[in-house]
Amino acid sequence: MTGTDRAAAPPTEDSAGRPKLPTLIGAACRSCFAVVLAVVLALVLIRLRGFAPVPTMLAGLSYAVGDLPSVARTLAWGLPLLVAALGVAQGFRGGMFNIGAEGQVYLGALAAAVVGAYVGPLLSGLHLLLCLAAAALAGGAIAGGLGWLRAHWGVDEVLSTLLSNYLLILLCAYLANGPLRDPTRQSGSTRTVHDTAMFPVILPRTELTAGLFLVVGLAGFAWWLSERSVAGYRWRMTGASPGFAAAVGFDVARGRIACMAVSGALCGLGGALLVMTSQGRFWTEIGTGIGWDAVLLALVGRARPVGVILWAAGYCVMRASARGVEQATGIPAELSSVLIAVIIIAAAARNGMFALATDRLRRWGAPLAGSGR
Amino acid sequence: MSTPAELLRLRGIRKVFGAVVANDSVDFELAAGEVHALVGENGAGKTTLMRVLFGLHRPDAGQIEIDGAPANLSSPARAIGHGIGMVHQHFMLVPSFTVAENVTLGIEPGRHGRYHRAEAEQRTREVMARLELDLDPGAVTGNLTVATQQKVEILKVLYRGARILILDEPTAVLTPQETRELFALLRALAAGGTGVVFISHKLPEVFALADRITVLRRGRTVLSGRTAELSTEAVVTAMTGRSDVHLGRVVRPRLAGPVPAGAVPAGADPAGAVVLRVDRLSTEAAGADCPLAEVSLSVRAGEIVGVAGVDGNGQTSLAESLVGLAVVRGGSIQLNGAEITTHSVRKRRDRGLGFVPEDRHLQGLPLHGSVAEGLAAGRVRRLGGPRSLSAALPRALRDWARATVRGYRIDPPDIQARCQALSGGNQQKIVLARELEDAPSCLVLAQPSRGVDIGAIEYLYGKVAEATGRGCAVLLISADLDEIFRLADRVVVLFKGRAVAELDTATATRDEVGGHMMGVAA
Repeated sequence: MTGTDRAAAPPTEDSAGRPKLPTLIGAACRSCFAVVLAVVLALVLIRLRGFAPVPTMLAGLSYAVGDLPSVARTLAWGLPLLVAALGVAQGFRGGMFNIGAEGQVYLGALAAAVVGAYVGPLLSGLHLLLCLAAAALAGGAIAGGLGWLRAHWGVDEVLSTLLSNYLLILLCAYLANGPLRDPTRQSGSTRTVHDTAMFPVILPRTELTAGLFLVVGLAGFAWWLSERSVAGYRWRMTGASPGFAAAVGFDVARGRIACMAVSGALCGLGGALLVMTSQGRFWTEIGTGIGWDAVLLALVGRARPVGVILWAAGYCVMRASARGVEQATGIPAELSSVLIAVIIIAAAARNGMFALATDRLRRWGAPLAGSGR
Repeated sequence: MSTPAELLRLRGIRKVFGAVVANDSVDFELAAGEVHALVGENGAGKTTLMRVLFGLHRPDAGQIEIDGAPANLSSPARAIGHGIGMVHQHFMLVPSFTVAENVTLGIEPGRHGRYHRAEAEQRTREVMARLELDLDPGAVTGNLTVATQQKVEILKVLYRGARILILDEPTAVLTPQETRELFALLRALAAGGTGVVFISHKLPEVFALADRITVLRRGRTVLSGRTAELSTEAVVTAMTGRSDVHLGRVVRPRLAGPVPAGAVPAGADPAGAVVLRVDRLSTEAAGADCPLAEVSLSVRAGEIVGVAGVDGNGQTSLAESLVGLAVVRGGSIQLNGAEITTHSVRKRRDRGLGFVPEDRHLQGLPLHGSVAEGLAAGRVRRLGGPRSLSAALPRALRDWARATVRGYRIDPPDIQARCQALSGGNQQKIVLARELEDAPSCLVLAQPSRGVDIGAIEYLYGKVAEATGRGCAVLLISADLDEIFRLADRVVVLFKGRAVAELDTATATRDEVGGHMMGVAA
């Protein structure tokens, strides 16, 4: 899975082709290391603000996952983010750095909101499907188009997707303030969608909707696609060893475009979920930061679907806890942003730090072992 | 203890990288005026030992003595201070500098930060005089031939006062004639009292040049003795640990006789019809290689045609244009009589073209992927459209991969192992297994033994020979003449992108081919 695991890979074969257990444990240990670092920092920061660290943290945690409604709220908030993060990860696996997730989330949200409000009311299932399709198509077309530019004209997708964020967000803002504006509202919002375009709530008195099932399905699909399928194999080879992919006869350009399109479609679906599970309309601040968080999660999760899901879950708990801490103490919820930054730096450095630590241990251990012999 | 003539003595050198013991109680001695060859397969620890000697690695145990006194070689600067000089496999020259500038680089004559050109050239001439070389110190290094650049590299080392000269695989880039010139130069140096360490895996050269031979295997000294007292067989056995390795011409099953049904790929005529026909092929340059200019050649079923040439004379362009990775400007490529010049890589492969690329790490394997992923590419290529969502590595494929890994004796026998963790020989086995399991009618083999140990080379040659027995046409592109003479039926020589000669390997001599490689008709 990672550089350090490879060198010491024991030749024990897993017949199902799954990563070996020690690799998973190793990865988990390194991830825990990053989290522990962040928690310690959080405790220190809370202490510095003059609060008792541990009780404050526990209060925050109980706000995030203390009871069923809390869990439902945290989960509901995280679903769109997870879908977008899986989308970005899909692109990363194919060697395409789609950092235009934010723009694709906005466009997907707008597309879903428009189809939800201007088409229908229809049969609920059909309407949901149409809205989702519109969002996936919008996000996929943008990302796929940028992938085409990369594959055929060599336009660096990092640059093009980054810049596309500004174009798309501003375009959506213009549309929501202009042609698509809801005349009954003050500004910056489209019409409320029909009820048939909203996912039904599955847990009464919470925000948790049937969108959960869609997300579970999408997560399974994303995992199969990138880790197990023929298409995913081609994309991974194209991403990690483009020379190899070309030499064995894969269409590198097509792989790049296709994996970008899927990546964008998932980001668009993330945007659609924002509209269809909670907001019920598009407004200019709807997805603030979700796309960027998705990029970070895909990075920290090393673009593996399982890793991304775990990190997304942890991130949601952290965000919700920070909100809880804010309510209890007035420490701004931006604390979570600081902690995320620490985790990302620690996670990015964890291989290096870990290698350093084990190397030190070995060096100290060697003379002792030698004298004992 | 040590004789006065003894320049260098390494004793009990041990160097460990993580779990890998690269050197284990290695002893090595070098006397003034001798050429001592250090041989061994890839990964035997030659390079590590020399890097220890040059101060690039610190040994975990052992002693280094120079002129009988213990020496502390903790950095290359100190090694140079002790008179150790190293000529690396990849030259460390600035192409845009003149010969004199390169030779004196870092210790230029001059004052107050000014470079004194006349003096630098004068001092370069003095070093050249010792070697009886006649180069223009003002010539721009990048314009010189590879062989001459190598001499500049040696001059550079001598200018720094080296008495111990280490050459790492110096003949890999030379023609036979150039190799002889280099050997004469090294002999002259040794006669002047310099000690030469010659690292190589080409045994004929080792026996032609060295006074003493030391063989490393798996980090240990397994054999050391005077050349006159050693036989090639003994050295090969020591290198490989096997006694069944021979270095003669590879025995090939002939096409005559009944061909088992289904063994001959569709379209390939077992009677020896032309499978691959290249007609006046011109290309764009592939990477740093020079483009092809109107190259024509043909390969028959069951035949191995070698393509010889010094690196950079169009071999890469030829391989990549045949497989469809390079831009063709003119001419045509026919496979089994069908025009494939404009086909994609995929279509060419579907029509029966196999390709073992020269750069295994970039093109041959998914370096970060698993062995199973490296083997599966052929099957995955054929799955398109609606089957894109089916499993890439289903159970049947994993079973096949496991059987292939066993059949080709790939070590470790684990289809989940990372390709990166395998030795060069085992990586090459994966590449060849994938290509041969597709039963190609034509196989383009580019530098197949580069970075592959002798034991594995023998095995790979055997597999290629087997394939020709089934009617596969093989184009063997190699910079190694020994390889071509061991395997090929005919040899085409590339020089500056042109096919300058086509010879029969049964009648041609190495010198003849070498002459064509340098562009002088022999």
